[in-house]
Amino acid sequence: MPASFPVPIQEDIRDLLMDLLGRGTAVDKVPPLVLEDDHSAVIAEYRTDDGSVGAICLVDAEFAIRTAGALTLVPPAAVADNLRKGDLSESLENFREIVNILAQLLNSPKTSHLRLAGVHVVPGDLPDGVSALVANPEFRRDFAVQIEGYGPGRISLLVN
Amino acid sequence: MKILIVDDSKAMRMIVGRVLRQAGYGNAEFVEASNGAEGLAAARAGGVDLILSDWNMPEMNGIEFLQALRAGGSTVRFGFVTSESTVDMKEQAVLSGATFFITKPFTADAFGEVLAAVVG
Repeated sequence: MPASFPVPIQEDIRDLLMDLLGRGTAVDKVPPLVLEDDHSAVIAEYRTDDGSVGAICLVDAEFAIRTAGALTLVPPAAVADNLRKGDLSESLENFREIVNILAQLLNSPKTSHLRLAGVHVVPGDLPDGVSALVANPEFRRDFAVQIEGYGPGRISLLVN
Repeated sequence: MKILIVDDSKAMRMIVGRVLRQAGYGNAEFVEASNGAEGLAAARAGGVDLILSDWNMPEMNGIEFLQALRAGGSTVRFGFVTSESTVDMKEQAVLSGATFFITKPFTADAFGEVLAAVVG
């Protein structure tokens, strides 16, 4: 069994978002997304069936709010309003569905089964295994995403 | 035609409905349920021609829903629309009486192709 869980590549992220959101999506590789105290982000944690944290998906607030809006065709003006206010509350249910579906990119026949185990807004408390993975992943990929009609965001996948 | 959409995500129920309309089922009547138990009650109420159900749901999951439905004698066409689709899950679904398996995310074209083969 490989040491690390699979980390989706640029094309995987693009294809999944295009199919899920039903609109054009561009994805580019970028340097690692760094968590900052003055900028909200959202972390989705994925655990194995025995409860170990295997992977996380880290996104900035822009990605969470814009993809959540695009998923259910929230008018872009309302999405922009949430972005201005930094209000993630209306976006988390849709975002959870997006990262739930994204779990398929983190699974492979050769690695332990991973499923979405939680979604956390940061700054905020994180479970131990999650903060450890944020600090010291085995491998990571970071992308800038542009969603047609909704705008840009950042997404990072980190695995043990 | 009456289509029952069962998913614990309101967003996903909305998306499935939207894709069904894009795939040519705009004249169908859509009924929604947020877990297997609600889905079972809606199906037992009658008149449902097709059920599209998620797998992982609280209260009663999709496979339990399907098995309860078949145990009650229902032969309504049933397909899973789910983010996870292992070989084991597909095998269990077919053995329990499911007709098809659609993996999220899906396009309207892919959805339409699968349903055309099932519904005709």
